[in-house]
Amino acid sequence: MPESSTNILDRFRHGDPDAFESLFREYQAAVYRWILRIVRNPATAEELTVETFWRIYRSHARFEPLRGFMPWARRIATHAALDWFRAHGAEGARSVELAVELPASPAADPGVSAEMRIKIAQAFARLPPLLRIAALLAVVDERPHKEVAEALGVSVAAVKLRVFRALRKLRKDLERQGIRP
Amino acid sequence: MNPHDQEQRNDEERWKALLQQALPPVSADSEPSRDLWPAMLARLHAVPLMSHWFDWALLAALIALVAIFPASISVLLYYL
Repeated sequence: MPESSTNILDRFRHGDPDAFESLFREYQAAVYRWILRIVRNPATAEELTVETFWRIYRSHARFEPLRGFMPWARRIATHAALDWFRAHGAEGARSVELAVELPASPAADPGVSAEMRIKIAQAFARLPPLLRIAALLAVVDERPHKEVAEALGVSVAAVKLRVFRALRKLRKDLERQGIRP
Repeated sequence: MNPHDQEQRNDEERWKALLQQALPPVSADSEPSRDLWPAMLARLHAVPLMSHWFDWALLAALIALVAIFPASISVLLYYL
């Protein structure tokens, strides 16, 4: 009979390496996807997934099983991604900019030219990391504001404010280039 | 919903459509290209013996203390 997840979480909290491996195998894909949403680069997302689980492993004693593993992991992953953006500066922003080279969604609007997509992605990459992350998660990937707030360690109102500020900055940046979406 | 909230919501919807054209959302079935557990194990086993500058500073201070006041060795051994 498979071991209950509550038991695994409890063993992990007490530093059991086997429980950590079980959690890693169960959640690595979900953590990877969360980070990919932020950094938009598969290789960087893989590197940061390992970094995130390393931080999770070191903090096992602070884990509260009742609050669930994934919300805690999302929060640690978001901060690992934020640290990466801060450490890599322009290179980090460029990874977001390069995401425009991924294939467009099947429902791509023919009215939005490739050039406009590139300019929007470039303007997006110029946003401060905190605003960029909030807008990527809440607007582009349509994650619930509550989930984004928990991951960033702020209130839902703060997430809405960051999204508002991100969109306002984007609009100003694009208008300076003569683009009116 | 007050007019300001409504305006913000409409603005967000317009931008959502535009941004999703420029930055395609991540697929719900995206996975790492490889099993990351071997990389995780390598990371776990690569913990340096002393990784923080404070550890080295403390060691240097202890060596200096012992060099200047040899009598302090017995006190240090008592507390170790």
